[in-house]
Amino acid sequence: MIATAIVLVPLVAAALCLIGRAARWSAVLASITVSALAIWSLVAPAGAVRLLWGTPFRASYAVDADALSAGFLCILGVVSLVGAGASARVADRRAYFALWCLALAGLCGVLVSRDLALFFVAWETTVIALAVLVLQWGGHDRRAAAHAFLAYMLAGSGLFLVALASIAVARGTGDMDALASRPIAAAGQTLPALFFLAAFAFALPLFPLHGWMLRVYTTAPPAVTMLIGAGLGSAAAYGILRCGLGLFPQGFAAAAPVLVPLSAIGILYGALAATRQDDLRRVIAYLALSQQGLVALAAFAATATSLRGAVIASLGEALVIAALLLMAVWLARRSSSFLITRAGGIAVTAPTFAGLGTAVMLAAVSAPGSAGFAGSILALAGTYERYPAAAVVAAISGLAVAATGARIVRRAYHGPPLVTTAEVSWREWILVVPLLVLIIGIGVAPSLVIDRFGEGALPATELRQ
Amino acid sequence: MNDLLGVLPVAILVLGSAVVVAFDRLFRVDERAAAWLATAIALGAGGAAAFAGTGDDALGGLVRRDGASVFFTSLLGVSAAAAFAVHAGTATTFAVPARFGQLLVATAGAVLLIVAGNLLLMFLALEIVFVSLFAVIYAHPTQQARAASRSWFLLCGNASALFAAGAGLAWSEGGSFSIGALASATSPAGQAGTALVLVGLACFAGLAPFHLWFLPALEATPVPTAIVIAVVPRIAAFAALMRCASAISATGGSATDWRACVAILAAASLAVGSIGALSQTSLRRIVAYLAVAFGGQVAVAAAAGAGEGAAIGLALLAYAVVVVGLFGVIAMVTTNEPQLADLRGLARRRPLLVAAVLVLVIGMAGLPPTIAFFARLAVFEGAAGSQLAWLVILAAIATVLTAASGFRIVFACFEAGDARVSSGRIAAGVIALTALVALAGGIAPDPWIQLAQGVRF
Repeated sequence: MIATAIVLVPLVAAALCLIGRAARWSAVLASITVSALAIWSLVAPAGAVRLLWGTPFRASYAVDADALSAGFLCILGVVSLVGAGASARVADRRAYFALWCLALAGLCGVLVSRDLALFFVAWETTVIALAVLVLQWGGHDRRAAAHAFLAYMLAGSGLFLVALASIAVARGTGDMDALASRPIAAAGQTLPALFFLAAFAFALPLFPLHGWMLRVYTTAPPAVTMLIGAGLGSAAAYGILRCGLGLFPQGFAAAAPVLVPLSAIGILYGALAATRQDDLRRVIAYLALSQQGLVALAAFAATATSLRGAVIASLGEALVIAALLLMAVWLARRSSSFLITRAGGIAVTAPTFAGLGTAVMLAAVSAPGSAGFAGSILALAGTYERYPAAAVVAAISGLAVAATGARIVRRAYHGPPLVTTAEVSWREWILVVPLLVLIIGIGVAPSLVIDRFGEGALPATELRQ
Repeated sequence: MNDLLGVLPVAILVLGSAVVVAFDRLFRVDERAAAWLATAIALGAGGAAAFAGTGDDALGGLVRRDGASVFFTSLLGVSAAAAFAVHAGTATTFAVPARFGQLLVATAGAVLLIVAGNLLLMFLALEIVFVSLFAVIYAHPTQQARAASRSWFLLCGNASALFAAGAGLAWSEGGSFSIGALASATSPAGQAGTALVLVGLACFAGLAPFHLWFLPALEATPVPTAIVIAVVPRIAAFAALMRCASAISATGGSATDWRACVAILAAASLAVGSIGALSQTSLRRIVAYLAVAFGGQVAVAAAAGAGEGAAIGLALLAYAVVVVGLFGVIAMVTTNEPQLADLRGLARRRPLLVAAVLVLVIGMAGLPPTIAFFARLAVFEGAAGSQLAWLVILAAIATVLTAASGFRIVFACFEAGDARVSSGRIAAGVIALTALVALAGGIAPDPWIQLAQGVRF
């Protein structure tokens, strides 16, 4: 029941946005409700709901919010809350927030659905809603960005659809729990594993499938980028864990010799490329590519530690992307540009703002005490057990990420003052505090999240080797 | 009584066409009134088929009254009615009310093709469709329409002749014109006959390489006529194709051969339609190419075998819904030769219409949450279940490509500009209805699937 409510609330909010005047409040309230319901389902698990839907074609309405889903849902609600709060000045508010709620509903659907067909429906709804958001509210290059986004996502979806149909035929069901309890023979798992991975690898994105990323990050409204980078990105990570590793562990083991190096290259590439950028949005895009590569690496390594690391890293990454984008928007509002070369010396006139920005940047470079740190340590330690070389590459990439962070802090907040700016307003405090509290909270006590994963919440690892 | 019920829809359509023509001669009715009359007649025929339901074969086996007859006849009646209603809403171009008589006769021929249980009757039905649609296309006084009527004449005229030759070869083998005789046609001559029958029907279904009549005909005729041409022959031809196919498969024999042929036609249609649509700028050409690709998807289900009646029924239902809807949108654009650019600015002026366009485009691509997604899922499952993995992968790639072309239409609506669309309530109503059906079928597919499961040959 809770799982159904989690999907229904944003849908109802979308309808309210269309007819009512308080569109932004509907979106904000829907986001808060999603988080609250997710926490409730953590406290009092409600169990799965299964209804027949599209019966003859083996599709069912099966939803469940277990600990893994609830963790992601909780963070998704916060990210959506911050994003909706940050989209203060948009044209056509009602349509914007209706689409926002629709995308949120789609993401919630992805996170709770336990049937592959339902999962696909929710996934496509999200992708299309996000594409329209980019197309209609993006910057000057929005058409190309929306095209690229859709092209990459649909390419993944096409492969997903093939895998979905063949699994439904081969096994007679699309129910994930039923599929997980009767896995396919090891030899036949590689192809469906790769097909299912396709949709998520494009959305995560996994190197070298990140072609849409820069365009979307620099063109889309930053709030929508939050939903794409943090919401869709973490949903993709969830998808890899749930539909990928959960259903085809041996398939991923067979493909790991290709996937692990790709992830490691992605981590290094993103970290190095970020050091050379002046546009904050591009910096964030490359940092996200690097961090999502780490999530993917930990997932593909598939040890008990690395999987937990992947979850924590993905949750932390979602929060960090949201916080970084918030700081980028506020910095751009103060210096009229996303270029860090135009900002400088903000610490002189707005010390609190500079301090806040430094704190967010510390979280982004996975400083100890942040969620990123906890996630990275777990992910790297777990990965090292199986793929030491990849773990070493990923660890070294951390230096480049730290250099990027130091460079931005130095250029934007210190040095000769180029702009005179306002301090942090109370609205800005309201938006950034929940993010920082969660980042530090997860960083200090990751066990609060990890310990929730009981038997069967994460993919089994003993099947490997 | 059984015989009467069997021919009731055909009789309603034929008599109705006579009534339309007579009304025109006697009372000089205006075009709009004639369109409404035709709408009522087509709806009546569809309703009569649904009301009569299934039963024993009528007229000594000439007319089948099985689930496929009921489903496809009703679908045909309703889609033709929607086309006529669009015409009533946008009346401009046709001028001669009697043309509705010809369209109704074509629909009657198509219904006859659906219900025919005999190769000779099928041939007769093909000829009726062929001649009446030729008259309709040729009568439109433009150079383009003349060219389209030439390709229709050459391709479909030859196709019906080949069908007749095939029927003759099958008769020489089995000594009967009943469709069951195809099963016993196992000698080389008999197999050639089967192949010719299939070629004839594939041509009327507009599968590549026979899309060469389909595209120009959709482009050159007024939009409501184009809807009839896009929907009516295709549904009927697929129904007849599956009827022949199930007769062949009933006893084994050359079953694999016909499936391979249809698979190749399906692959060609998918490739031609999805790649061709990418580079077009004319709205009609985009939708026409997408329709060719959609036909390929239906053919994928046909290639999976005669047991896929439900998948084909659902896919053709989705096809009719999205084609009627998208052509309805084209009918609302007031420029003469609607281009993508004519939709610019529509999102600001008519946001609800753009929402409907979005749903229809998603449906055309076969993505959720529309009924077309479940149709696609059924098609893919059928094909994957009969070892046609290569065709499934091809169809999935085509899905992505068609989505890319379809979204160009949506993107155009969101650009800044000065969209020129009429404010016709009726056309808008038809579009809204199709979008709602597409969406409702995607959210609650069970009733539609159950309807389609009645399709048995």
